[in-house]
Amino acid sequence: MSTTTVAHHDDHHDHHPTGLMRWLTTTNHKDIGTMYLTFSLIMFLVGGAMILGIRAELFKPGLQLMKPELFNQLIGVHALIMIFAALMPAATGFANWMIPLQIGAPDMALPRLNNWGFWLLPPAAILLTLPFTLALFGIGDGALATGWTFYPPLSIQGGIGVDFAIFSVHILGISSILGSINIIVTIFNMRAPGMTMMKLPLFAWGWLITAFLLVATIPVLAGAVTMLLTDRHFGTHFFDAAGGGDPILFQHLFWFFGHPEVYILLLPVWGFIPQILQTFARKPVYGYKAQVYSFWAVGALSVVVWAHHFFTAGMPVPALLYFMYSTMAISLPLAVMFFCWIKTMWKGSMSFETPMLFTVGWIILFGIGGLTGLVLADVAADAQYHNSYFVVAHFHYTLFAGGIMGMMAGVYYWLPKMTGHMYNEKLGKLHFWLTAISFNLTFIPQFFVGLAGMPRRIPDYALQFAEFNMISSTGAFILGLSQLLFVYNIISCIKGGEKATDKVWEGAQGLEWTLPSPPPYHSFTEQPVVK
Amino acid sequence: MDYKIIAHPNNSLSPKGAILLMMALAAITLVVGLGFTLAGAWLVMPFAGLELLAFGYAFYYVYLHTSDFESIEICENTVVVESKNYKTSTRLEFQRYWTQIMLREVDGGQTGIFIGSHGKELEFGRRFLDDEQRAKLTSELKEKLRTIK
Repeated sequence: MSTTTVAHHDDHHDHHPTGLMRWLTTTNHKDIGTMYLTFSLIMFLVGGAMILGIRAELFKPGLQLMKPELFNQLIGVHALIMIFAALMPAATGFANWMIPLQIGAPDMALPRLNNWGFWLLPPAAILLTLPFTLALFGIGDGALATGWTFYPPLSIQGGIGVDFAIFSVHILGISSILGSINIIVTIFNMRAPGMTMMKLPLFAWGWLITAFLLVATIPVLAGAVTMLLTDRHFGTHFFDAAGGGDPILFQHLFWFFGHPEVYILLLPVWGFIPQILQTFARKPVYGYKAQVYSFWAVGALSVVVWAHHFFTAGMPVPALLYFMYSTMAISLPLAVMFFCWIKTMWKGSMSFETPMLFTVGWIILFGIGGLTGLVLADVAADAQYHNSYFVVAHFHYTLFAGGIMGMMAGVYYWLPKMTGHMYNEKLGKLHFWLTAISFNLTFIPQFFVGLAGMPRRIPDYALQFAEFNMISSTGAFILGLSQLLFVYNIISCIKGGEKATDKVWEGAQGLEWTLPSPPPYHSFTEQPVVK
Repeated sequence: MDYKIIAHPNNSLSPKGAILLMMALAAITLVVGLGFTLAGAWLVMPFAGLELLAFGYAFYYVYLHTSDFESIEICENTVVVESKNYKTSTRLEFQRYWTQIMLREVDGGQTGIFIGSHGKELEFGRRFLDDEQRAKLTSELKEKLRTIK
């Protein structure tokens, strides 16, 4: 007698439509990843164009180009687009593309759910921006003008833009939950034989904790904006002080979601940064376990520190102290990660291709974001800096440098694998230097004006801030225009270019590099075994 | 039984692990939901419940697929072909002497292994095997039917 067992992940998806139907109905993880990344890039340009309007207005004191109402709307929608429609889809796009390849799975665990997760995004983006168009036809008074935070009482009194934004956030939340379900089930259930949890690539670990954070926080955001909706239209008074409600409760709810959201955007980047460092330093990742435990520590701490975003709203001294110390405690696991990143490079045989340039730049600039965050975590200092441009500069160092520049490193790192072609290295390096320099030109002056007392979210300002704002606006326009190089480089790389090898980078390690470039439509027809 | 081959999906999560994971997710969601309900934001709870239902259904769906398989068993006088997909199970028994194994092209240009006799036929290996594996298995099955008596 002989018995043979053939273990495979799942059905082979033989059906492979072409043309438009391929993209509408696809359940292939690479197709869906590509759609997420394309959507993210488009929305990055839309959100960027909005902020260039803002920076043009702020180029000189006085009102030049727009009314304060439109200024407020552009600021709020810029933030929502960049966070929900640019950064999160970019992270989800990479997850779709790379997690199955990295863990040796042929696809995501729930491919149809994956398709729905993506196709919810375009309607949500339309809902968010539609009020601008409606206002042109005299319907409503434009988009949400409360900033991305929806704070009542402004959001209770606001126009239809708030309702559109509430429904948009609901749809984005459903999309995020569908993505989280898929990622959690895929990572736990579809790892190749031998791929134990402590052999998972750090990117998969980063995403796993991101998914858990989304699970913990999205229902809170959904509940908060629904309560806002019922306050606006159905006579409830959850947040309306006039009816005995508590506007501060909304701040607690919003930031219980909002603060972990920062790590939701950053953890996937922290996941692939060590992989890029390992590739271009030609050394194994230093402190794999330490980084995994640090991810968990940051994830756990991120849901217990939310109130540092509104120290000035007033809370008991023990609460102030608790939130101050717990926020500062996040710097400990982050310090471990910084140490591991630097130690991975230490005495390595380093080369500085574009992904590595972005990664090294990322470490420095994200470090500035982290350190300035420590300043804001101090209750006494925050009383001075709260609601100032110092905060704006700080969170752009964490979310533009830490988030978007990190994603750019990921794009340059994996683009040859995805397309099968090398991008233009010279153009990539030029893009990095222009981005890094103009980014600092934009945001360093904002630290100064913030320290000098310039409040955020105002279309006009005192004359004393004029020079720094002019520098900042000039930097912003260079930064914005530099991104056209990025778009051009990506499109050229998709269309053609030097053929990429399977491994692409000399020092690359991991299952994704064992597949051809670009990988076949069905990734692992033969199951890899990890030793 | 002279020969048996089983093809099944790879599951890196055990049923016990799935229950533990589901319990962890439920604990996280319900603690957060309950906390905010106590603070007056009771509308968080329905969303937490909906999220858990979605997770529960996803795990249930995956769990029902974990026991999917396709098998061929060659015994002294019979060939038994079994398969389970989600909630559907099929089992066909053929007389070994008359059993025919064929590799045919099916829609989409791919191949399928067809096992049958006396007007009954069943496709094997479509879900878990690729073309190369199917071709190899067809030769192996023909060989086994011929040699092991």
